[in-house]
Amino acid sequence: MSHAEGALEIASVIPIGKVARVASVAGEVVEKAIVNTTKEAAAKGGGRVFWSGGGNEAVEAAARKFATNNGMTTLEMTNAGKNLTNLTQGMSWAEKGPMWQRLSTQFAKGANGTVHVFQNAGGINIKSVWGAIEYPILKQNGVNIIYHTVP
Amino acid sequence: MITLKHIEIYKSYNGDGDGFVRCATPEEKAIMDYKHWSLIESLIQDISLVKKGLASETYMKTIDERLKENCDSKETIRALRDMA
Repeated sequence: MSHAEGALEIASVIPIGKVARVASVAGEVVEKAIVNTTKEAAAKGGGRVFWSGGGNEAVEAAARKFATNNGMTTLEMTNAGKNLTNLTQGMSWAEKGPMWQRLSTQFAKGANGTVHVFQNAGGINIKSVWGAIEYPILKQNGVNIIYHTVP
Repeated sequence: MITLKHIEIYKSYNGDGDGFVRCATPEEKAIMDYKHWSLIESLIQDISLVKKGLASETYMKTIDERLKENCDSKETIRALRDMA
């Protein structure tokens, strides 16, 4: 991913009103953070790992570990995810939430082949980003989903 | 034990557990863990059943007991009822 592509990916998930606020920061952060790695190349379409833990950090950790061990990536491991994490520090969830939802949408839309999803064995919320956004997109695009449950 | 602080954090994420995992501050995570989060969700679901008239008298009593056992005050129980 080029620096410009990285910046574009971030800019596309930030509402218009927020662009000016983070733009000066974004250039610097993207400049430092965007590195084209093998893992990210694997994440161009396939090799994507999703998770939905309903508040259970162990689910995210399991997804991250699986992705790391298998040359795949979770949304948070992408440069866009890392940059969004950095850029939205200090913001409320009311502000961050829509940005993460847009990034999740892009992550799901860009998936092809087979993806993995880690879920809380205790159940997930139908209103979660997975249930409301990611799963419908993957299903519509005919992406094969391999499920993993985390106790 | 659920407190008003737990509920405040839960509400600040609009009940989105994945959002909490993804973006919670260290301070928030020091106060609230998955057990708190899942207990709040479970209690809200129970209260919702009662509000919709789907719970039996016996189950309603069980829910009241659960609320008393797991919440630190009447205010906390009231806040949970308001969210359901």
